[in-house]
Amino acid sequence: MKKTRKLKADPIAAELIRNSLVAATEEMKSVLMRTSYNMIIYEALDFTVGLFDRHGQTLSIGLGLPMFIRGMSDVVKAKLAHWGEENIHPGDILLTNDAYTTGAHLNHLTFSIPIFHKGRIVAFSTCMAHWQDIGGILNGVTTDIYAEGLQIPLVKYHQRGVLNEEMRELILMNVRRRDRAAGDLEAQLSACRVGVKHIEEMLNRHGEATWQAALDAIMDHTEAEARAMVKRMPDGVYEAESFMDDDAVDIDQPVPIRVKVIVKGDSMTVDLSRMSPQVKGFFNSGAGVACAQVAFKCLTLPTDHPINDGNFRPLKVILPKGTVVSALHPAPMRVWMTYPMTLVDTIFKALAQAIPESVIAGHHADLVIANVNGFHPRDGKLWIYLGGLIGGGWGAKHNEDGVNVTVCMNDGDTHNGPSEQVENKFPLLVRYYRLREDSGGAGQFRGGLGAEAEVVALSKVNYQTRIDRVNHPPWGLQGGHSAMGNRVGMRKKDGTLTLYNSGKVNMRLDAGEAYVLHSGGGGGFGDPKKRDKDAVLRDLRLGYISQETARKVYGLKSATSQSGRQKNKRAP
Amino acid sequence: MKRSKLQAQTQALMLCGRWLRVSRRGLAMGGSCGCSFDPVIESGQLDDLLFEHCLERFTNRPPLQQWLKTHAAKPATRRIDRLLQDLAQGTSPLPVADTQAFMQALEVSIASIEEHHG
Repeated sequence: MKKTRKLKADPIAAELIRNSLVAATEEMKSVLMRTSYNMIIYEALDFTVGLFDRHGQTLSIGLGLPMFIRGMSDVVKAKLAHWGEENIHPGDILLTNDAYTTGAHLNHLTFSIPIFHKGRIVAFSTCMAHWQDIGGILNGVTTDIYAEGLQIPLVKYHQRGVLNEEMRELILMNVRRRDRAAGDLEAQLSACRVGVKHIEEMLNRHGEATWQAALDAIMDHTEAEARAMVKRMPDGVYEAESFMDDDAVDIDQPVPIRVKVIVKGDSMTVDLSRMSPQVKGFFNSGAGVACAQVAFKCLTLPTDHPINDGNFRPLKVILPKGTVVSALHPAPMRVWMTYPMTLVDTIFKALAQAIPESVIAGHHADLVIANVNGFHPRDGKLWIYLGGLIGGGWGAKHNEDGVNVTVCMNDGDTHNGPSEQVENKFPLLVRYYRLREDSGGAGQFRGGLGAEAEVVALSKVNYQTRIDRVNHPPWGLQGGHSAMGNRVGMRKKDGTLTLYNSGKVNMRLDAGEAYVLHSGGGGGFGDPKKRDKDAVLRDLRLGYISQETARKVYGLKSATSQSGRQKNKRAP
Repeated sequence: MKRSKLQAQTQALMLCGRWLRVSRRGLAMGGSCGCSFDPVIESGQLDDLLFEHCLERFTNRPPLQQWLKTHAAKPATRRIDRLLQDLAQGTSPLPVADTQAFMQALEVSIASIEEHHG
């Protein structure tokens, strides 16, 4: 981007503006969460709000889920490129859900309000949120975008302050939950308007010149911090490869995730040229650049550091079109989120060669969730439960064990359902929900443990999963062992447990049968033989590892006598 | 008596319409948000599940149970719409009380699906 001569920023004004921007996006976020109709937005936080400068550069993002770190900036830039600044007017509201612009599925409607000051655009206030339904088929795996619902190109939802009523009607006519969609739409606009209000206040308070100088300073400062971190990394070319189980169409055909990271001076290049081509099933996305940026942000700035465009200036991403993370029309994108998590992990895997002290081993990388539903024997009403979200293990670090049973990378603060609530609402009995022994990869630092849950159906239920990374478990680093992968299974009334080789099942359970979900652990870090013996004993005592693992993998002698562990005692 | 039979037939016809409307669309429950996969219930699954629910629910009404079992015996008739058509055409052998009980229960189930549809 061509830069004009920068004014020197007043440091106090810059700091005020920096914090005002963060506060503004936090307020946008609160407004959206408190006014949306759809639980996916207000509970699962499947949204992003953001403020962008007149070129579409990120000023501040109010993140819902971590993977949304970047996509909206590209959407704002696409809108600018489509209309040109001269054709965007005060009172316009710009909209799209085009999957190949947003990089995600059609459920993500992205509204932007241009903000004008003294007759010209100075910023954009934008909100992306996930609508519960956007039309399309409901019959399992989609194989093109047409099957996934209504595609909205770049359109003006409002023109010069006037609602495009025909556009509104067209959208609402094509969704199954018209009332909820309309509610979420208005919630998104409210969030955007909060951003507009705050930017206008900042401009009125500080004046445009001071404001612009502060923005430049904020981004330059963030860039400098990021460059300093990259400069500490040894120059070199680092490569890694991992695999997804399949694309839900060609079952058991692994999908390769290949990355090359080049560190040179204070810049980093993530080359995704050798990623798998886009696949037949609905796991495609346009999230390649976002993945590289998520990894880069984690490696260069503290996680709570506000996000702005300066952070990403030292990063270049090479991403040819037509890969599984840069899919082209009409590739299906409905389940866009699964592969990117493994891509971020694979970037860490590559960089483990250069900066082992800054990365983690692989994690379970899937929500491990089941769709369970049926008619309640109590009242005959249909009930629907997104069972699971049981969390899984995270990879170990160079100096720390991985975290146990925590929601996967993409889903940040997403909540799960308490067992008591599940049993109260649905004809289900949670037989157990506990840590999964030996699921964390062994290592000098052990990978976090996954969970295992067994839930008994008290009447007939449908049970459907789309879980990946069953056959390609989370890897260890620097001699650490791989973890156990995700698994799906069912237990018959006679107690027979069947664990399937695929994580994609669609079945009926009778009363008394149970569905079983196992989440993978995190990979281990370093040679298990170097693990502190007291830590091994503690793991054994807590039921994190079995006696066999303690003995064979960690080399602990006479484990039983040393651990003091009671037979069959399990961690809660 | 005649009047109540006609009312029941009309009610069955209306229920059949509601059932066809909800059951043929399937249910969207998130369209694969970041926190989920493509959570849907397909139309065939709903039909099967509701039919089985009815079979289990009316064990205390032998004629109704028998009627359901007769329909369940063949794939072509093991469908909720076929049950309702039978009632709407007045060809079912069910006593009025059983017909009423069945439709009352079905009405609750269909309304709960409509609630999910919005």
